[in-house]
Amino acid sequence: MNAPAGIRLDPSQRPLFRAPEPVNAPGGLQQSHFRLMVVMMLFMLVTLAVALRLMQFAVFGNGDAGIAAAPTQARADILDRNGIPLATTIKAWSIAINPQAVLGDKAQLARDLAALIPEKSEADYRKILFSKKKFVYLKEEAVPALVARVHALGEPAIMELRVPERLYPQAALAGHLLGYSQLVADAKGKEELTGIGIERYFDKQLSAGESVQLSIDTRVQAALESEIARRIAETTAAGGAGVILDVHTGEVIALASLPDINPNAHAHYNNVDMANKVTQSAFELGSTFKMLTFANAIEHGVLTDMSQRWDVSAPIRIGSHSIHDDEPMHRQITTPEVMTYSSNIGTAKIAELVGEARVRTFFQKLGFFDRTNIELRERGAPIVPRDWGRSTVMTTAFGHGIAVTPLHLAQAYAALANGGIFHPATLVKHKPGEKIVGKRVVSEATSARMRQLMRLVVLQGTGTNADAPGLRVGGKTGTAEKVVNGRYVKNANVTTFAGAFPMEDPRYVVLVVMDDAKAIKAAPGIQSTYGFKTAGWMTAPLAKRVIRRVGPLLGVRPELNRDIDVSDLMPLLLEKKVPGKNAYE
Amino acid sequence: MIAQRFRSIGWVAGCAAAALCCYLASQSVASERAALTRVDREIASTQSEIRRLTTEIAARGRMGQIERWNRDVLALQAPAPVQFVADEVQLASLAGGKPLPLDPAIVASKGATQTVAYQSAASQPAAPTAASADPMLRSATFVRPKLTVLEAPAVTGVVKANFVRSKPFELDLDSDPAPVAPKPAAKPKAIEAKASEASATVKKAGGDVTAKAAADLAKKVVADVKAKAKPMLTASLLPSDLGSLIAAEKKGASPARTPAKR
Repeated sequence: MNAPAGIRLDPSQRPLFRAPEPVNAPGGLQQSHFRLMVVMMLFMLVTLAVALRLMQFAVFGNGDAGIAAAPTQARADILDRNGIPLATTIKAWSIAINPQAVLGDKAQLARDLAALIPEKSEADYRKILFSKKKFVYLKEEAVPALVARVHALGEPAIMELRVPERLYPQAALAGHLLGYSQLVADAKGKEELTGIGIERYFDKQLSAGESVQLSIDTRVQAALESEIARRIAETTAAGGAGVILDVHTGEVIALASLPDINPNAHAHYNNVDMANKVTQSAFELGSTFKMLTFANAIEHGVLTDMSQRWDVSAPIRIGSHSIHDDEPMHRQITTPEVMTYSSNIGTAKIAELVGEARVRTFFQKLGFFDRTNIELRERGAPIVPRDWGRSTVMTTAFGHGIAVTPLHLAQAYAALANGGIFHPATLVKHKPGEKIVGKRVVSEATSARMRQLMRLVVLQGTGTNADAPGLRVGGKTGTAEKVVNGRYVKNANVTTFAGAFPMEDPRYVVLVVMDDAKAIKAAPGIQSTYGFKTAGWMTAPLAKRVIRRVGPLLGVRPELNRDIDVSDLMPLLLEKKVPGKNAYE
Repeated sequence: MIAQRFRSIGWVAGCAAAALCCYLASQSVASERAALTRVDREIASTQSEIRRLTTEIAARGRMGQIERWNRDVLALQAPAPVQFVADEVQLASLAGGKPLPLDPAIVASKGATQTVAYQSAASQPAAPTAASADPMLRSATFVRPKLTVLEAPAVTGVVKANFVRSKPFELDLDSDPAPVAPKPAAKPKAIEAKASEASATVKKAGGDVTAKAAADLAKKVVADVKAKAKPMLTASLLPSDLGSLIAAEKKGASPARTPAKR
């Protein structure tokens, strides 16, 4: 080290072993002094630089450690309520080439590539290889075997790249719900985010690496989808949909819309397939609305006496329209019978007593005039009447002239069943201790009566085919004529079953809808529906199958010696059904 | 003086040593850091491998696939209410309602307890089949979920699989006595004794009867005894409802071979 202490600048103290300076050159001495100073400064600078660099290494490391250890920011996973991945990001292979850097024979390479990746012809590859481009994808989403074979060609211009790719391990399961999200360039070349489902709704969060845990239970979702698909096949229906809600939190446990889509190949579907029938499509859901009318009437003291009798022997005429029953009773029926026979006339009379203002307010409270708050962009707006005359009040009472999405109705049924609290449906799992949003729409007492009536419909009314053994199912069927291009189609129905279980302390709401299900003729292994294509024969058996499968999965044990007490209503039913007779499996 | 002269060199040496120490320290820190980075990389790579494998398992065992397996092979169905046990009493009732063994001391002091008839509750679920004379056979019965695979009655199949080869009820004692005859040594002796007794009777009856005729008669008696022995042997090994079993056999059901037809 050239420490400055070793140099004596005073000429008198200069070391003796050195030759004396020539006396005749005083200016030369000064010059050499200056030079020495410069050299010394240079040495000092170099030493300082080395020392600083060493210190930098010691303190901050050698610089590349941070880059190597940083995790790559991949799009985060979507998980179900039990932590099972529904969407994840994997590293997929892609093969690309830099045509400018090709060393070998381009014609031969084009031939080899055409043999290995036959999606393009040899001429296409030749065009790529002789182009002026510097980067061209030869194959995206390549399988490892193909990558190995392309690698074996030994061409250094070929690049094998690992690119992140979104994968949905459960394939088409919950396809509509998961959806997809991608950037698409519009006409001006500006990139725009498109897509559907959770992927699109939570795009920012997922891109930032934060995973989303859904309220969906994969097992229940699979059971719901498979049973709806089976029923669609049996009844050659145009489609089907279903939703299962937790009545106490509003969490969506399963949500299915069939025909389904596979988000792994979302590009193959058109907009009609992409439509989510549960959250987006508004249907007239028919007689399932009678439960709402009854709840409203009981809540406002219109129905105080269940033994009250209603004359349903003659249709009601309003202007050119008439309200009639599908199975006219030709006698006076009690209030529970209005429900079990699903009498339009009886319900219309009750709604008239409730009055327009209270009907509208009730629908408003149940959110029927707005879109739902579910975490999806595909939320359909309900179709509600513009003017609320006498006929509107009467027809909406049994679900005609008003169209809402199945999710709207499921939310309303959850409120009727759970003690009267309306919880907006959500797809995100509730964290323990998190406050649950809710507002009261009917009283506890009204809800208790509604639970009895729901069970009564399944025990004695139109919903007997939904009675899953031991699971205490309650609910209401609804059959409405299908609307195509704004017109009713006479021979096509939208059939619905909305219900809850177990009825003595409801935990889950199940709503299933079938679009244009057709009557089944008896065949080996297939039970006839005796020409009926109403909800009691089309959708109620579906609800039974679904509940029988998902009940034990959701921790509801089938028990034959347990049920809600309906003994005070039973005597009011004049004709009773024999349990199990004509039961549809 | 010399110390004065060498002070500068001492400074240089000291500085050099200090710098060297610093450098060595920084070197060792750098090497530790590099090792740490390597471990981090390994962790990241292992995590990505775990993730890849988890994803592969999830994709291979997806619900749709399980559903397909269930439809094609397993044929499992949603559980019925009777398959759930609500409490300990219901669980205990499944054991067959056998009374617990009594304390010998109590039995000795109050002997009457032994004679008290105990009828188990009528609501107790009936056993799937009546109690068999041969419990070993029952335990071998295996009922599959798909009924189509068992075309013949289950009991017949088990009996045939266990005891019967091709023609179950025509056992020939002479040719193959080993698998079924319970006392192969004792029986021939008895038969011979009876045969000699018969020939003695013949001799007593008249002197004009030839020795050959006597021998024929003896053979006939042996055959009779063999014939009598047959049902006794089979009855001891086969279930009590032999009649229905044989009837099923005669109908042409061939349960031992049914699995091959699947």
